[in-house]
Amino acid sequence: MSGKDEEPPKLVIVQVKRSRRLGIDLTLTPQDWLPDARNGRLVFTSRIYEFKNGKWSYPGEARKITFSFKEVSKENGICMNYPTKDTSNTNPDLFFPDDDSMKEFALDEDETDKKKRCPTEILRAKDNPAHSHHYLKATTKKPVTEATVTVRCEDYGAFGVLQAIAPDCETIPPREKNVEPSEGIGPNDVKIPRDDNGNDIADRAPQDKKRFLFVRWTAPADEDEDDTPHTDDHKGDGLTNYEEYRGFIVGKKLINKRHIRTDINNKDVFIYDKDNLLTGFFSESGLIIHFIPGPDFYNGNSTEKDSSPDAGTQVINCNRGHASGGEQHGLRLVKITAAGLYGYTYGSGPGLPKVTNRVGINRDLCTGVGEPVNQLSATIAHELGHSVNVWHHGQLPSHDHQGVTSDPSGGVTSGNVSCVIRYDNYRRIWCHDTGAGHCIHKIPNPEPTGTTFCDSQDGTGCNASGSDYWGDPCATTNDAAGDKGNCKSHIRVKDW
Amino acid sequence: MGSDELPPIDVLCRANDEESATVYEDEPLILSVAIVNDAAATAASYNTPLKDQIKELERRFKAEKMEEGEFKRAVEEAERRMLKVKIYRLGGPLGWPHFIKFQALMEDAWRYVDWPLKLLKHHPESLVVTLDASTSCFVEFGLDPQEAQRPIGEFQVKAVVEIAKDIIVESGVFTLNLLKKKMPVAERNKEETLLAKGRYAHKRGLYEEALGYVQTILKADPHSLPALDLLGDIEERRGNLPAALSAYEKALEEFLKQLPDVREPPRALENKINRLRAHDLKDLPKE
Repeated sequence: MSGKDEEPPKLVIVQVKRSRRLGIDLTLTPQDWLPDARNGRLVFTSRIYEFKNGKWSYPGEARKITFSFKEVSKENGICMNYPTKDTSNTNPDLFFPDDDSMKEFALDEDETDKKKRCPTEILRAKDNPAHSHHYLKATTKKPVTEATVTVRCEDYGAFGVLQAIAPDCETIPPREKNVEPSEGIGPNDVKIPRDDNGNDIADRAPQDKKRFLFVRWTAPADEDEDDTPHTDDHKGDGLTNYEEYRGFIVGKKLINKRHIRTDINNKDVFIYDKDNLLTGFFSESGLIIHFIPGPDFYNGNSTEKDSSPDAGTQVINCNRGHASGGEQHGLRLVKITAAGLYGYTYGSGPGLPKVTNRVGINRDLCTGVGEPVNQLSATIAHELGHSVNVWHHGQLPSHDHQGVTSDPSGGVTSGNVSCVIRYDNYRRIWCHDTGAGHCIHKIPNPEPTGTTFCDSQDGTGCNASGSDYWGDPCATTNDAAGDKGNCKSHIRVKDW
Repeated sequence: MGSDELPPIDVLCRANDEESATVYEDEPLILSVAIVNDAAATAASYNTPLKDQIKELERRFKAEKMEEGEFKRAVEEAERRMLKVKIYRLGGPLGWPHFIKFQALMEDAWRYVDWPLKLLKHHPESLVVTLDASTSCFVEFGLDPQEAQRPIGEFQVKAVVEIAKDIIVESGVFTLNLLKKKMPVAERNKEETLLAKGRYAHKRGLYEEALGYVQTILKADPHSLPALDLLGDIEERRGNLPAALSAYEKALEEFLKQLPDVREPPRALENKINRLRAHDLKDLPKE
């Protein structure tokens, strides 16, 4: 190397340690806020502070503030049963909207499914305004010391974690609105909605905690332990605590539809009552009945056949994803005109809703001449009973005796005469084998129908020994047989 | 009354069991209206476990397993948690079907129709009906085929139900297309069509006419289960009980032959047979 090529003197860079210490925080989600898919809105404010005299003081130095979602739910649809699975998308459930409220921000990280549009009608027309983007990052266009960002919600079970950062700023734990910042440092992550116990269910929601007398404890998101009505070792209604919280769109007709979050202690059953038959005495089952306004609210009707529903149809939690246990089916109640039958449960049951294609009721026959006044209400409850695992009180008649059908002990007519599952009227002129011979029943014409679900196998009325049931000479102890009867204890709805 | 205060009553109207219908001039039209209080059903289902809880409390109190104060507090708490819904009554001295009318969209305005509709059936049969948790009340009105004053054209129609003096509930709107032409011959002779006409005539009390349709069906297919069942109904209404019993018995035989695997027996048919067989047993008590 020659002298001509000597290197110029080196520039000495002196790193000056900045004396100012800056911090950034974020306001917490309002305590009462629950996710609402109908253009639900939340605002969060972030401030930049300077650390002075042992505490954070506002304002600090202006910076560009970036808000972003550290986590965000992307559940199918907007609640458990709407829209149908093939039309619902998995766009982020919380996002920064591309509208006037965000004009001071540069938006980024759009995670929108361009093929499946979000529904603009959830409960009423245009209650969820059309939008093309779901941004997950928003940065102020200019340096500021305070910024307020809008978060839009599009799911009744939305959850996520929002954070705010700015260059050279330490993060300060989030604060309540209108209070001084925390004194320390730490992540400014904000859970949306408030969720101190981390089960992805808003703390404010009743589904957040289980309760026994005065004790309350966290309800795990994926647990399904509803126990009312209490039945034989069959807890649950097929909907996990998170699913019950995320909720369903219900209502008898479209113009009255509403969103509900169901009770995690009570077993729920969902019914599409196409022909306004209502549920008769089925409310006596103790299952909470919800009506849905149409087949679009349980992923479509199955094709009509006498076997289980087509795969994926009539599923009330069709948009399940997070913390799900499995498919839970709703029930379809329809009017039929089948000759000879009051009603019929089409499917491979009696059994669970998942094996019930539809419950058919012959309204014309049930309300025909000579029928008891409650035949329709009793038939509906009887058939719906079959769709929630309730079987007849016993076997059907086996033989004829001198032209009349013999009624076996512990048969379909046995047990509690107030039970809708028992066959009333059926043995009006049947004979009954008393052991010493056959005796013709004397039953009122028509015999009153059952009005409830029995809670014991014991026979009552004409099925109780020594009773004076309309003077029936055959009244003898005739309890429901084997594991039948005691219908309330057999009620089961959980499909998985 | 604001929309938020609308009673939780749902009114559903169908034309010939369809959401919209096209009807030939020789075809009967049945407008059916079903009225329910679904909020009452949901509330009743919610309250059932609470009622059971109260029964259990009473049992424990009677068994002296609870003190009176504790018992009363627990009962009050259960009662407080019960859902309360308003129960509506429909009807009056004229009968509740009198409070159901139909409107059609004519010249851009909804007007009550003056079509010659006949009341075919209503359930329950009482003059006043309570719209409670278990009651599904429905009414059917018919428009006779070939009726001289039968309207022609396409109509947007809805049912209007007067629940109380100031409470009107409407059904959804449906399209009704009443044609001025006869049903094509191929359609006319179908069992389904003949059955519909037979059932309509039966509901109208025109038993001879109904019998004609049934006999036409049975001539072509003596095993027709619905036709045999309807034949029994017609004969029973005509007071011809042996013929009714015979028709029902044949229907039962056909049912068991044609549908051997049906899990639920034809209770309705068997009850009809039992009812007629029991007719001879003079000392049967009445309900």
